[in-house]
Amino acid sequence: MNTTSQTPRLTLISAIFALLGLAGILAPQLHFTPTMLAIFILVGVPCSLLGLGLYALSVTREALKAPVDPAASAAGSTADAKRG
Amino acid sequence: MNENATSSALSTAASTWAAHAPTHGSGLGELLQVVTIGVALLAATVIVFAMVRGKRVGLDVGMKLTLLLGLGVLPAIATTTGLGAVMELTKAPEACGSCHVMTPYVEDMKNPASTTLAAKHYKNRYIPESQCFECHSSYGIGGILDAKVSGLGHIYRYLTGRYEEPITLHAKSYLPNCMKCHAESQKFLGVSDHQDAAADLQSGKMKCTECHDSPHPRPAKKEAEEAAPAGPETVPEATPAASPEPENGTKP
Repeated sequence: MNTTSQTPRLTLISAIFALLGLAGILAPQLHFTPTMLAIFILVGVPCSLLGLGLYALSVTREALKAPVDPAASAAGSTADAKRG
Repeated sequence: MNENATSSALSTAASTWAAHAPTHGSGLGELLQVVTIGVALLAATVIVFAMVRGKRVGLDVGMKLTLLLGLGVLPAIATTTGLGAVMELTKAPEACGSCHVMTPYVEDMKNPASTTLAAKHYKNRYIPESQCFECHSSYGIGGILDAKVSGLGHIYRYLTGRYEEPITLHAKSYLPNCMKCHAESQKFLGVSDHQDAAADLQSGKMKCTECHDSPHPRPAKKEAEEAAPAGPETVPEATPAASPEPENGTKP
């Protein structure tokens, strides 16, 4: 599984959900009807949360699957050894 | 015809004075509405900017923080203020009237020629704003939450068509809602009939509308049902003469 190509896709999906959520939040503010209220409750709030959740997942996945830089790792070990 | 002329003259006079009156209504709701629109548009701009720039230069730490702002912080603010705006704006009679089943009731309430309790309260400004909400919600935070939850149920039933016309009153007793304002009123306490009927009113044996006019116009179908021969336990309709409520008087 190629994580480097998946992470931006997940970020893109989270951005789409967030934009959809924002549209849902805006709906009753621009035109106040029962349908728009339902859109606010059923689309606005859940999609905003889903967008944030997917973004958090995307960042977490990237952080966990990022390749370790050997040079930086070695430098870190040397510094630790010198400190005692 | 004469009623229409009176109604029209009153409306013209009202609009003349309205220009000099302080603005009533959901000032907080409108403020929250503007904030929500602004924050939501800002969030959308931030998201689009971060995605376009991120596609070109990659998602570095700065871009990730920008995205966090656009995807997390700003939508959270927009959701909170949007929810506040919705809570405030749903108190307005216009919000109640936006469902077509409620339109006749709101129109009657705003009709200066109407003699229903709702119209009397509205035209004499006994309740200056959020008139539907004030009478249909009980006292305190519990009452407000209860009314909001009921409102959610109304929206669900309205949008899914799970209701029958004419709509009927779900609440068993409206006494606490009336007493919210009237209990402390000297005019209310000064009427001996209220003291005589206090026990029956409090136990639910008697309703305010047995002496006072109906709060809203009664649907034709319901009136026809009630006019049909019924058992001896049928509660007699109150006569308007029995109502001590003034047409254009002082606040009771």
